[in-house]
Amino acid sequence: MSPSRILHTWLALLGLTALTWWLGEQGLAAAGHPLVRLSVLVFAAAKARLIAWEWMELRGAPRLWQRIVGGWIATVTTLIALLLARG
Amino acid sequence: MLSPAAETPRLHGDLAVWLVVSAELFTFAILFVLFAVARLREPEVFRAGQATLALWPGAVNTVLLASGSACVALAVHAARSAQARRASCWLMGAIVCGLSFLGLKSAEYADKWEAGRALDSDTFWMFYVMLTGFHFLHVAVAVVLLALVAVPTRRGAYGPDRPQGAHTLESVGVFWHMVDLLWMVLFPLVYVLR
Repeated sequence: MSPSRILHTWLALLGLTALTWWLGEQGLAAAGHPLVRLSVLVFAAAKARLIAWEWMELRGAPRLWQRIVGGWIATVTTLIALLLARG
Repeated sequence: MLSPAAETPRLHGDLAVWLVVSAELFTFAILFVLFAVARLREPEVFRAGQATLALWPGAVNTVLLASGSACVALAVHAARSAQARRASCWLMGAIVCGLSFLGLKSAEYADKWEAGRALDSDTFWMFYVMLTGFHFLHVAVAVVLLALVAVPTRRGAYGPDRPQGAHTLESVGVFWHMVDLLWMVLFPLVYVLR
């Protein structure tokens, strides 16, 4: 985990947060556009994975722990997406 | 070329902390899904509640937590490189980010409290207080943990020349990063997806 890699991860997180905030401020996420809602959740999953793989260092961890946390991210965001799609 | 030790998969931080992280992730997963189910059942109540939430405090808090996480990651890197003073400076940066998060969130709670919103107002506010309040407590615990390791870090207690290396600092870092990770799902779910 080098400082430059930490910086790149931080910048990616800020970029995805800015995109999420912009979609929210434009009212796009509230207007019920399925693709916009999906995008917001994909950004959330990407941010969670970046934190887990880079800063929690799961990149070099045993596969079991990668599956637990990676599975959590995929399951939670998918369930939320499916439930919101029904609303 | 990497040494065999560097290629061996390794969990950074204490196993006990990772078990706590697993339990916390499981608990929050249930709360997130229950929030989405309740929203499906009472869309008008959730729409009205979410409409009163300003997006910018949530976005600023996301930046604060992500920046705090970057500081913690840099602190761990500095400690592993035997740069104790630098590591403790990064930890102080993370603590400032954490306290700023708690301050901004407290201001948001005070604002909602003055507007007459509380746990028993309706289903949305019950979930809002439960989810964000539970997360708030985790941030507070993470800040306390960072403060507890800041002084030993400055004294060089965690580093390559120590028997345990940076193990304790890594464990505290894992807990902090989990709090950050949870917010990355909580923010869009509660604030953005209306």
